[in-house]
Amino acid sequence: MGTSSLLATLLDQEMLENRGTITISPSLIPDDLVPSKNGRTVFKELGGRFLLRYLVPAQLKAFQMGGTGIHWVTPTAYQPEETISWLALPALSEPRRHALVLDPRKIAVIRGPRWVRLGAGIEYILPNGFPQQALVLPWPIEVT
Amino acid sequence: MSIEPTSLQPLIRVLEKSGYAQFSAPGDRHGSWEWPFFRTSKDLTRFVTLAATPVDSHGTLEVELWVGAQAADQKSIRKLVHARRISSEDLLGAVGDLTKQTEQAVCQAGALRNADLIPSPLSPDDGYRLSAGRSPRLARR
Repeated sequence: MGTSSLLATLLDQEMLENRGTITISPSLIPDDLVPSKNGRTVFKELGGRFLLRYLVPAQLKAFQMGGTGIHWVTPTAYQPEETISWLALPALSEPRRHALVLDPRKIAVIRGPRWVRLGAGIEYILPNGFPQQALVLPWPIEVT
Repeated sequence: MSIEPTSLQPLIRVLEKSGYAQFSAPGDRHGSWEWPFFRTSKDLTRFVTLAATPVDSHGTLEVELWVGAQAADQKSIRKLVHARRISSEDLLGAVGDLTKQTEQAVCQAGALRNADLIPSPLSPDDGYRLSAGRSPRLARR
């Protein structure tokens, strides 16, 4: 497992927990019990950073109008070969080489942060998906 | 992609009869539709997760069953116990077989023990904070 993922995750942990008011929920806390916030609050706790929603190759054009339903996202940039293990993702044969960059300020409800169960990353939950306006770029960005 | 949860009722009944409850409603986890279930015992929380991932633009899905377990100290394990590729149109017809596979997955999850778990590269409980002057251990997963 690459050390860049460890450092990236540690730095995100520092960024969040050094604010003094934010606790990263334990990974075994079910979604419904993770604190809910508005997107502007999350944008502030991330120090003005964006959220990443990784994609499998078959999804590259799938969310040009936004996404409905529940989506899980992360603030942490991972290399494709590390994303699956750190975020405990299915489909080992489908590397996540692309990601959507999402602006939390355009997302009404966000739950998190929480440690990833059976993995080691940090995640947020978008219980109502994300609108088209949340796409910082209209297309996915290539991770490598 | 999205799968109508009611179409999976036989499979859900197997999980619920075995003491599993929904950990989260089904949703999209970085490209994979995922529906995780969990059961907590004295020392471990066990998971059985159904996942479906689009693998091409023609509606082919990689359908998987994963089992896993995690302890309070963040040690964990996850294992792929069933995988098959099917057309999204054929998913309903595959529910019977997936239900049988879920029964086996429940057994495989139940067989996971503390000794099977491996350390997390990051453990919040261990004070792996850079600002605390502690260097995180690198752990193999």
